[in-house]
Amino acid sequence: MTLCPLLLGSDYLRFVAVLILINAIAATGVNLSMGYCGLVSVGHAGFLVIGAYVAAFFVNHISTSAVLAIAGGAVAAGAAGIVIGLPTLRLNPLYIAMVTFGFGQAANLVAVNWIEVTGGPNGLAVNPPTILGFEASNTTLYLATAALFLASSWVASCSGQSRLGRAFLAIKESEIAARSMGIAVERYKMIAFAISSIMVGIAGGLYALVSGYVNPDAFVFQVSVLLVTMCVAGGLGRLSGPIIGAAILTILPELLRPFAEYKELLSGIILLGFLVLMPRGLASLVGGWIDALIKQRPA
Amino acid sequence: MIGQIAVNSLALGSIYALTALGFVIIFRASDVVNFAQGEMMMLGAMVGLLLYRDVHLSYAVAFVLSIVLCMVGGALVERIAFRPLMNAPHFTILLSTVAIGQIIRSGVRILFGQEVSSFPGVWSAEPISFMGLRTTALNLGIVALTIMTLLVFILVFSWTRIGWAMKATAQNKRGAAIVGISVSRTNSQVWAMAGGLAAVAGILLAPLIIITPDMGVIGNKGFIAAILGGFTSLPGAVLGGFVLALAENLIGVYLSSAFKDVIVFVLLILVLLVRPAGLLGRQIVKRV
Repeated sequence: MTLCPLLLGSDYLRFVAVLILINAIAATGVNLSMGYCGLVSVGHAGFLVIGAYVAAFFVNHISTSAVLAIAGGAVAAGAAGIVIGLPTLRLNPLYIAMVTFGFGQAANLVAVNWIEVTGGPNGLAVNPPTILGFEASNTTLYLATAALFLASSWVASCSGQSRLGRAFLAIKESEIAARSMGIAVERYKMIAFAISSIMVGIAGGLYALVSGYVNPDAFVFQVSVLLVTMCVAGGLGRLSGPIIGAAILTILPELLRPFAEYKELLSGIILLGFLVLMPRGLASLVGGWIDALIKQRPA
Repeated sequence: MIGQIAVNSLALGSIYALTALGFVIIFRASDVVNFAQGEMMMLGAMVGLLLYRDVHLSYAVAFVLSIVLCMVGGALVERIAFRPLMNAPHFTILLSTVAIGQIIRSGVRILFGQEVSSFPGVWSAEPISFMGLRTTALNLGIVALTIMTLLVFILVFSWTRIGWAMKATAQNKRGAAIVGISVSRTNSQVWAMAGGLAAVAGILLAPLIIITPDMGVIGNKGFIAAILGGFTSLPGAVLGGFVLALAENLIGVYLSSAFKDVIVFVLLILVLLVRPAGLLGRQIVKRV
């Protein structure tokens, strides 16, 4: 399934397919902290910003290696996640929503205002990256995206089924009960948040390399909401949820291009509709076999 | 210089304070952070502008009418985004307010376009000097109307049955229900009140900036102000609003105006590190 970008004929369709995979990586990251562990974030676009700009900076100024660039973006995003998580994850769960909200805005403002490095509102062109010394063609970048997508799903699946995942679930269900059973609540929340920010950072780096261009408009607050919507529409806390959500919410706006002004309205209505009418998401209908499919073929 | 900066911060601080108050009353009554609060503020400004400029109502009538409409809007939001989810996990409700905010913002953009409009000045923006400090009639008007709104608010809260019901609900929902208070009706009144506060903030803010569907992001500032104040304390919210405005202006003057909002955010993280309960709040403790 993840190789289908290669089978598609036109460049446009391929690009959309890769975009789905990138969004799926990011949404899987959000799902890990929000769906598994109950940490609401409405600022994960901030980690996308960091991943994308750090990757762009690496490729343009340090080394053209795509691997290094994406790793750099992921490390930077993870570090930001830890810095934000440390003070806030100890507090009432509501604070994480508030602080990520502010973080998303602040990260975007830095991208807009730090013109020397980020190019400001005009954005920044990203030089063609290399993989293992060869200039990366579109096909190799797509393959890399597919591999990272499988890897992130695998990480999510592993952490979902292990001691880690059970701890996350216990914290999500009741923090007090989890603590009284001896689960180090703060530490597990930190792990969930850090993995989540790293995954979203990877997605940001991939986006920068694949599209060859970054600009602050691609990472506004609505994008954070969109990532959350993907998880909720697909099914929070399920492996297949963010993947289904990413597929639908990436394809839908492309189909509705003539009605671009309604895109935001639509994603708001979809989010509200799913929350009220189908809180378990689409995966509750069709997710079982997709979960099984992915688990059978870890990367 | 500092004195002048403080005076300059009063108008902005008033608006932050009103927005923060909206966040806090909803949080106390419903345990929800209403992410649509900024959009309600934008809606207030938009409706006020339509009534004043296009329907040619007098400023006072447009002001009151747009407050009333936003109160209806607030109650409506409660009915759509909160009540069906009352027993759902907290973050579900939080997300549904995010969705409502997005729907309002994009709805306004579709109806009125992305065009920016400015609110015709009701008071003059000419500088007035008083004891060596400069300000404008506009700023004084904003502060005066804010004080009036706060007085009405205090009056409702401390002297009417509605206000008592709100306080009781905030303290203990089950207890309130036992003594015969309709918790759901109180919730709806609280959300309406927050809508009204947002409308006041929006209309007062309108002459200071340009009106766009995206001006709701200023609600974000009210939110930070509420965190500073402690998120559970009403006086804290007001204090937080003024402290935030002062801090912003000081940073803007002495450090960097481009990175003002970023520095404010870093300060917020520091405050949370040192004093998570904010200036006047108390730590939110969950009893089992």
